[in-house]
Amino acid sequence: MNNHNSFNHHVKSRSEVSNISISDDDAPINKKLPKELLLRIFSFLDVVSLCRCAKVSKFWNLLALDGSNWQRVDLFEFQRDIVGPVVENISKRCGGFLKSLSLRGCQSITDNALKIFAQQCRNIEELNLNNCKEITDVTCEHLGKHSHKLSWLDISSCQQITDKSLKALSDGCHTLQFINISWCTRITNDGLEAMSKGCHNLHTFIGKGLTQVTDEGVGYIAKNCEKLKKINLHSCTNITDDAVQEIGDHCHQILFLCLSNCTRLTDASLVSLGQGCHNLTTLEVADCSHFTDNGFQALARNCSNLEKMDLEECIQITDTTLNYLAMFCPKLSALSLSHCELLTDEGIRHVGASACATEHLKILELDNCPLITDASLEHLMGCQSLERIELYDCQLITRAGIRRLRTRLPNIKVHAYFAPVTPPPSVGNGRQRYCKCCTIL
Amino acid sequence: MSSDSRGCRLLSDLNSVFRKDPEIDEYDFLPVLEPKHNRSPLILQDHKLGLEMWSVKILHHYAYNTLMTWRMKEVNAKFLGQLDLICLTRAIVLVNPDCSTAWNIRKELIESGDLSVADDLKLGALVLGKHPKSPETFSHRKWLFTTLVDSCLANSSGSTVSNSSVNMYNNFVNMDAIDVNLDPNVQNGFNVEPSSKQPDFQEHAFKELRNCQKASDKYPSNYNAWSHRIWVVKHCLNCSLQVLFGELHTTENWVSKHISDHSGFHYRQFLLTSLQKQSIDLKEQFSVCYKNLIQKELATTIDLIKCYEGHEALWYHRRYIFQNLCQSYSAGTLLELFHPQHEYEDDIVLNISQKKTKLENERQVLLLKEIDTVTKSDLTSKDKFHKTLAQKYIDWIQKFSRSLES
Repeated sequence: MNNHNSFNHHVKSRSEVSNISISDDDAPINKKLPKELLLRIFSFLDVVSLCRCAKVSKFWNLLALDGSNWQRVDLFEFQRDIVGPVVENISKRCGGFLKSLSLRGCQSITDNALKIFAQQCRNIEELNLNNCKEITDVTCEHLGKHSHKLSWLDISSCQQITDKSLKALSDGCHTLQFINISWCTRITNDGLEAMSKGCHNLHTFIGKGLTQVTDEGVGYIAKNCEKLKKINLHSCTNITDDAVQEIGDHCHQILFLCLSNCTRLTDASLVSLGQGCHNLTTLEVADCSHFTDNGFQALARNCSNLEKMDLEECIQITDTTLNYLAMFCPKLSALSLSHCELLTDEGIRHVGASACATEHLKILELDNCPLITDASLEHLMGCQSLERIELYDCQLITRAGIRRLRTRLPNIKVHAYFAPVTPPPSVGNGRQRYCKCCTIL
Repeated sequence: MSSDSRGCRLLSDLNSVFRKDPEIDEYDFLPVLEPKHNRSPLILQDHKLGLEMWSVKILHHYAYNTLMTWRMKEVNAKFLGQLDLICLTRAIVLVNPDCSTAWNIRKELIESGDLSVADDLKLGALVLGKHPKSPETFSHRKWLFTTLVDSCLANSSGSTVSNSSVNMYNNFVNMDAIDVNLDPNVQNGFNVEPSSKQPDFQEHAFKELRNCQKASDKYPSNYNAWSHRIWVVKHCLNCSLQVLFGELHTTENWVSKHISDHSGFHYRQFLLTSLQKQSIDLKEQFSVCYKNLIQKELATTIDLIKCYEGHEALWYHRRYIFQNLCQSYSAGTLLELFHPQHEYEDDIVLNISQKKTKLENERQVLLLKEIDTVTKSDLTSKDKFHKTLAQKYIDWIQKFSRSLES
């Protein structure tokens, strides 16, 4: 990683770029091209190329390390090498130019480096601190103080973050639209309450694995952030139907909702979603094992825009659910039914005969559905846009059944334990030999 | 393209199998060359895992390629978290345990604290069940034990550790395994130093000895396993007398069942040499004379040679024992020379010369006796190869005695 050195040794102020003049000894490229054009060219380069250019000459060093080239910096690839001083030097050099910074996985970054960053780069809009395990609430306090333009923030897996961070962000970052606080397990309802009061513009909230959050916390978010389009509460194991009811009551614009592995939810959740969220296009409810056909009936009748559904391991659902989905959701394009062990060929017949089947259905996952047989594949032969079908561990499916499906839908990818079909080469040879025989005869 | 997706699925199958049963103690490949049903090729029963043959190649191909593109930092490489890395490297070493990159990545994971040494030892033991000779696995385990020793030493307090460690290892005694009458006072002496601090480490070290035994059961003349066992005794158990005794006892039965396993005999030779080095302690603490031990070993070896004719390894072992016996005669006598019971200094000079001649006589008798027994019993054998081996042995003794004289 070159920029490490470059930044340590050549921290210069920006004014030098305008002062520098070209002498007769310079390389022809510097004489022919005005420095504005060189700067323009450099602005298209990535981090590594810029650092290489910075080593060419003093002139190029100044141009390549000019802040205007460093508006979007992603240091994810160098996560192991990045230490505090690198970030400090980048912040000093880029100043107000820096709009997007990703320090994803840079585990040795500390609060101190990010404090300097927050002070220097006040125009930052996107910041990714995923898995920067060292950072604490201090970082977020500085962000709240200085970064008023922040609209996109990812602090997932930073486990030292607490409610204080969210309070600080709500005080300063009113333009926040996207926030990811997944696996920040210290966050509680109080933090969500504070955040929802300050950041009304949120359209995406990702909070996977927030085990301390209960219905109350989700309620604050739902009530105060009505612009929410995307909510992810994967593995928030303490939430119940009440939380989903709040979402249904307030977030009418919601498009994406993930409630996978929220194991306490029951059909009441699906009913409230059906009543409030008519625009829902994606619903992920894997491992919600209390859901039954009744819940999906209520949902399907009202949410006719559903395109993607993940119902993996909703073990109670039967062919009836598939019947409702087939009847009421004509836009369905991806459907995951893995480990739904009660499903039979009859249910797949409904899917195959539905309105979505011929045009929209692209992906169908049926792993570990033990009752599915080759007859299901026959029912799906009309699904012209089907791109991929998963059949792992469906033990009644045979090689012949898959072969028949492939002849009807030649572009489909069938995922099963059988070897993928390869065109048999021996056929051509056999014929040729026969012909040779003929000529000899 | 399609085979790619199968690899991914097989890996997740493997992971779920290990999640379902963390106590898997054996695995093997089943001779199923092509998938007959659309069924997972991983079969789990009573902690035993079977992988159908056709899936092994796909699984390894997928895991290896994914890991290597990540390792080379290629542009389109998938981001892999610590958990992914643990699963991928596990899949690789189960199929090909000599992939040092995979083991090295696991070393890095241990250093960063994402993987526990105990877990990795468990995986290594599992791998050795299927690939008992894998040198990379053994060298990885050496590394694991070194880190374990380091962490134990770092945890325990101060400088007393190095002194007490010998006693601590002595403290672990498998009394049943040792047919030596221990002086009760000596036993009490051991109990003064309680080994509460590192029961884990000793447990691991003794488990490792058992693992080596298993590996040498599975593969004849398993040099790697036996030399690893030597390493464990030396570096993890400090060649403590009680461990050496226990090992001598447990391997005695083993070598009598594996008479052609030179590596096994070499291990016993190592044990005897280490006991010889500590023969003074041996006498003081256990009232066991080293000479008796070696004579017993010679008797057993002669017995084995009689029962199983024509096995070269036995004859080589006999050479070692005999040479060692001759040496112990000289060493034993020299020890007596400087014993404090000689009160008069004037007598010592006289005594030395007397003893020297006595020693030479004794040795001569020994040599003649050995040649005599071999000529009588073995040279008359009907087995041609056995006769050649006996003849070679006699030639060697004569050469050896000449070298002693000069």
